[in-house]
Amino acid sequence: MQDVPKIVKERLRAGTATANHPEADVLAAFSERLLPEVDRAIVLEHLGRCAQCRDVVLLALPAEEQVATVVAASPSRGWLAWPALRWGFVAAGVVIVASLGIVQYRQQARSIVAVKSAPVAPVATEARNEEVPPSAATEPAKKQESSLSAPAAAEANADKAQMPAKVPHRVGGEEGSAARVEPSVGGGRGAGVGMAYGATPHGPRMNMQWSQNGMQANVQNNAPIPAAPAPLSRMRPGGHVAANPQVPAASQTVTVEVAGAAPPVQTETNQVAGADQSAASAPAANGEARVSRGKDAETSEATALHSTVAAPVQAPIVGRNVTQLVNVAPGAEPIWNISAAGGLQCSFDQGRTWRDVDVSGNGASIGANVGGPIPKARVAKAMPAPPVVFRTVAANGLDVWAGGSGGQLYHSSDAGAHWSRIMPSAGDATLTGDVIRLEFPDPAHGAVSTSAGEIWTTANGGQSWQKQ
Amino acid sequence: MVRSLVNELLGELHAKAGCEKVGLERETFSAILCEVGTKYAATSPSEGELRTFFLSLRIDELALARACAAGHNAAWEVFLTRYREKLYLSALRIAREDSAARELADTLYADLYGTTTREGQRISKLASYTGRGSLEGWLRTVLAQEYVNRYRRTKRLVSLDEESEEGVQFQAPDPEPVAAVDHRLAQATDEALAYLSGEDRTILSAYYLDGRTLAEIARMLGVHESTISRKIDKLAKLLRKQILAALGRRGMTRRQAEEAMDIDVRDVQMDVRRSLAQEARGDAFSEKRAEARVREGDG
Repeated sequence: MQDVPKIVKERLRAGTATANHPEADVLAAFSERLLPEVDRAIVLEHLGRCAQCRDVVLLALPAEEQVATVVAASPSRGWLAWPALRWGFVAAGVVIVASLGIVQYRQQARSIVAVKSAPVAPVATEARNEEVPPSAATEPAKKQESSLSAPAAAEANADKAQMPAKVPHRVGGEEGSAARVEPSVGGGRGAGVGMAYGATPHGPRMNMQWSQNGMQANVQNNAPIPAAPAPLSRMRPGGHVAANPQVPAASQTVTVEVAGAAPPVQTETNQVAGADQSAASAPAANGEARVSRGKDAETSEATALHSTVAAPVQAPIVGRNVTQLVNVAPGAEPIWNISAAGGLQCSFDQGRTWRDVDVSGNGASIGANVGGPIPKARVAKAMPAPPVVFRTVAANGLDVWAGGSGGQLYHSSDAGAHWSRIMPSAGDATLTGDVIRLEFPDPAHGAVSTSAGEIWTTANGGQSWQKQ
Repeated sequence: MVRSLVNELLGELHAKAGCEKVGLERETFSAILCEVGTKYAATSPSEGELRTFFLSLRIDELALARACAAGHNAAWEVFLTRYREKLYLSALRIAREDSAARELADTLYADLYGTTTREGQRISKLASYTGRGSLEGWLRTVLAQEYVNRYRRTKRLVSLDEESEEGVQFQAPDPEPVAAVDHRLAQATDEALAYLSGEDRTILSAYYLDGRTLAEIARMLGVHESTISRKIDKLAKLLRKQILAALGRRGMTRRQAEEAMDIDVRDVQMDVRRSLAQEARGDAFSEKRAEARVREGDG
């Protein structure tokens, strides 16, 4: 970098300003990029001449934001930090997923065609090799076909061994059903059916099982995302199985089967970075989502609650949009913060370092209706939630609530390891405005205030809401 | 215009602010909005800009801050719950030392609470918060201002051993800047610097005068570090070019201009000092005395 002539430094030093310092709120607004251009230019003009105000602005900056990729440093991290390579890997991942989908489709199509056209094949092959028995004539084609589709077949087998593909789950609730469903609930399976240990279609073997009182959380790798992996560990109070804190090699979404649930699975379309996911489903008017939480499971079913579960929010596959899984040591409770830019952050070291928390990687939208008739199950297109600018966060130990723009409200009961989006509603009324205040003196009781002047309260940890 | 706009928006803003929870009455809140709006209106904004200004305010935090300034206990409970820990952490990050951080935070708390009174009225620093930025950001800025005012102007009693262990290089302070050898050079430089935007000047000053890193400057301006690096490089070349052009307009040839620009005036000063010192050593006092005796003897 070329240096400036020394005379320039001398003259810069000579033209300093010692008066008309901007007020603290103007400097604060400048740091947070909230000033209009005209005011910003005025502040910059002053900063160019006032070392004192430059020092103040720098000292007043919030703690440096860090991406919450808690993982052992991998040698490729620095390499993957290049934006071009990062996007290249994303594009490669999308291409691989699309290719696998096409191969699977072709395999299915060919299997149908092969059955229909079996008599024809031997004629073609006999011309090439008369010694080849007719039955073997199909073998090369089959071998070729099988070789082409071997990965797909292996993956299909692996898929079968695993829980079903992430089926956007929609549950029409009935009175007494819980409103809270963990993200990406698979439909139609009961408890105990989980992913086979290990093989996943798109990534390294995973040893991750998470059980919450009968619910099996199966971790399934997405297409390889070149983000640094994050350890996954959670200790749920009252949970059966402690988390297995093995470090995954890629980001993942957690799909959870609901114990004993027989929910209707809706037809929904997820747009995930251009790759469509769709799952056939049977709509039902009266779905039932059972969120088992130990002994409270049956109790929760009996409470007068409706729940509609929107499709899980599928985060598009982008380079840095990884599921932020934070390793929560037993007994260690993080402290929470909203950054100047409206991002949610947590710190496990009393504020020395802060990590960004992404709530959209594994969130599910849940609406809770209070009272009223059993709602009809609604089919909704699964759209990724718009980026949220957080305004407020409230934490009670491991129980964390965060809310912000567009009425977006998120809840985690495991110190931010997993998030669920909550959409309070009462009858036809839903929460409107930005969430600007959260008051949760304990995990069960809380109040949400919005910029539209609404106040929503809950007495059961968000499973049902009342509008004041 | 401010009053009418406040009356129009009062209902909406009052609902957003949650004034009841912090014990702020509607009329008081209206007066606060008028005060904030009047201050902003000094820049002669249009009605649309003023409306946007009001709607962009952090209205709930403004209500909380002003309720605290007025001494409402409910507001203070909310304030302490939300900001107490953050305030201390910010002070720790600024002061980098626990005891200094605590003193800084405690001092600010006293100012925020309003321990000083004027004409019977409690004076709280929170009364100057206008809601343009977040309350947390404002608190950090006030902390930083307090720190800069007090601690940077006070000599820190730090052990020299500690500093040398930390790798601090002790060096003689730079000598006082002297006037440029050629006044045309200073004029040409001032002329070139006058064309810089505030942002460019801030970048150059922060980098060359304050010794800030590229990353720090980037964070300050909200841009990427590489942007700052490229900008400094570009500005250095541009300034050099403009100074040369200005010197040319002042009658210098290009060679003279380059020589003038590249000469370090402090080097010139030292050369003079060195040459003066050498002349003094050449005529030692004892030798001069011996010569004088010889002359007397001859005489």
